[in-house]
Amino acid sequence: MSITDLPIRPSWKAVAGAQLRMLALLQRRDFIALGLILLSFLLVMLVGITWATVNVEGSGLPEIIPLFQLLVPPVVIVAAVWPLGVWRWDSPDQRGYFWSLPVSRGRHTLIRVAMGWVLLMITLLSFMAVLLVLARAVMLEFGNLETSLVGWYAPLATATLMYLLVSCLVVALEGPMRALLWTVLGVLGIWVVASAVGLDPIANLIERSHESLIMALGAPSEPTRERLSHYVGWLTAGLVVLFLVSYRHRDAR
Amino acid sequence: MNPLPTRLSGDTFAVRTSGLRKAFRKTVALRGIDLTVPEGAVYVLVGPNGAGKTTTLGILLDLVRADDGSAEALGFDSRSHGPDLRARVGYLPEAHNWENGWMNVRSLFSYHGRYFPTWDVEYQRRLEKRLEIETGRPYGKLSKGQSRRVQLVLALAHRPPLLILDEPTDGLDPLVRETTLSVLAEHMAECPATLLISTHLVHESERLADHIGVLRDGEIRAQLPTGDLHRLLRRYRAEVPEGWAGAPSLNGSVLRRSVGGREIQWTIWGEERVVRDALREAGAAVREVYSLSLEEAAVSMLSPEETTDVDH
Repeated sequence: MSITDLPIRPSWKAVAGAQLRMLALLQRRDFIALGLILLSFLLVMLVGITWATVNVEGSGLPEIIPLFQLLVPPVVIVAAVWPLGVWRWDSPDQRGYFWSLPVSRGRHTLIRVAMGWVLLMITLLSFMAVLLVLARAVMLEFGNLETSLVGWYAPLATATLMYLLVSCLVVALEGPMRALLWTVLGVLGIWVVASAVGLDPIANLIERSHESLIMALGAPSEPTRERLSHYVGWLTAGLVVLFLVSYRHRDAR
Repeated sequence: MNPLPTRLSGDTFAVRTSGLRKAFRKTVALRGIDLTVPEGAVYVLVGPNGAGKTTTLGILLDLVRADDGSAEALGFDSRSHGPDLRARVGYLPEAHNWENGWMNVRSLFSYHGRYFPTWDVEYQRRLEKRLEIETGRPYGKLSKGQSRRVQLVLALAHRPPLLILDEPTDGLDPLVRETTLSVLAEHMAECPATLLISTHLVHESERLADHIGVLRDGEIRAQLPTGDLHRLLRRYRAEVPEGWAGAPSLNGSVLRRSVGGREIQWTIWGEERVVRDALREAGAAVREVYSLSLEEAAVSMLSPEETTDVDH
């Protein structure tokens, strides 16, 4: 048997396709649940605004309702939990099967993260489209919804950054939920201790990082040069860290 | 002294490891493994639980990284060409329900098949039927026997040139075990491949095996064709005179010994004629010589080396 007769490795497109289908199957219940939550959140808000405009004296609709920017807070939460779903059955301590497939670990991990992101974007875009239709139906008579390209872009860009940062943690650490919890508690704990004992450089670093992250997450909604530089900085750092943690080898147990 | 051969001769090996060492923190799992599986062989790697079998197979597939040494299969170094190697291997892991348990079996086959361009859907369906697999059920809710059968399809349906099966019949009822082994035999007849089976249930693999490797405490204790094993490893029952001093010329060839009055039984490695002559010259009267089954041979080879010469 010559080497050319032997089976070959799957193309990256085949792997991406397999991952996307698998994730769509895995996330379908979450997809519906999250969609209902997002839609409920926004419909309540829109109905509230409409009701206030009609019934509360002195109240009036703002000139422009930034429909999709209202989505940013819930989207940040959705994007933060999305990687947990993406890796639900393949957390590092259960990744034997995932790693036994004929793709390099690093590439496989990056493809999974990328397909998780694609699915997140498809999910968000689907709900934004549905939301737009519903909002137009509800707000038709007012006709002042902001649905420009920037409006569409803001929740997606914010979700992208949040998804990337949480994905780094989930890929790097064991037990995604624990990882998230310990990271948040750890940073908070260090900040409290550093502040209490006068370790100002450390406390300042944490405070500056926190401010920077807030600015980065807010950048797509209110883009300024400074905010965008923070966004690009966090995005770059996230990509570098993701690449590094994806390509290390960890023995399956 | 270990009288058994630990290296196979030849130059066409489907699997070859050299000096594999691995420790998990303070626990040493492998102490320099040189495993060689000839191309086209059915090689049974035998050893008790914890001997290092799964770790060795894990290193071959680059699921585990060795601390030292090298491993290659089908000409691919496992560390630098892990994906190329895994594309050509059908792997059945030791763990049940290792794969994505939330999927139903049909989806799992479809998902797995996308990773193997040579995945043969027709063959998969034939195996499903043969193994009576219910494809509509969630994989994670299958019984041990059912999930093992699913794993067997995952390992076979892309017709790989190398099969690595880690305890394929462990925990199965006799009927499923028999079916599994039959399917394996049929597969080997239809799609010639090299088969490396790790097991501690040797008797089950006896009808398939043509090579055996014995692993204990992270070391290869023996590695040889089963034909040599049947020919050269025998049990001898002999009567010895009182005060018998032993047969010094057989020192180092004895694997096991049991004494009952003036009768002694030895498991000895060597040409039968030479062993008989040595025993006779030393004053022992050989009454019976037995051939050993693969399991009996494995047990002898796995026994602690407390007896290395023939004496009282």
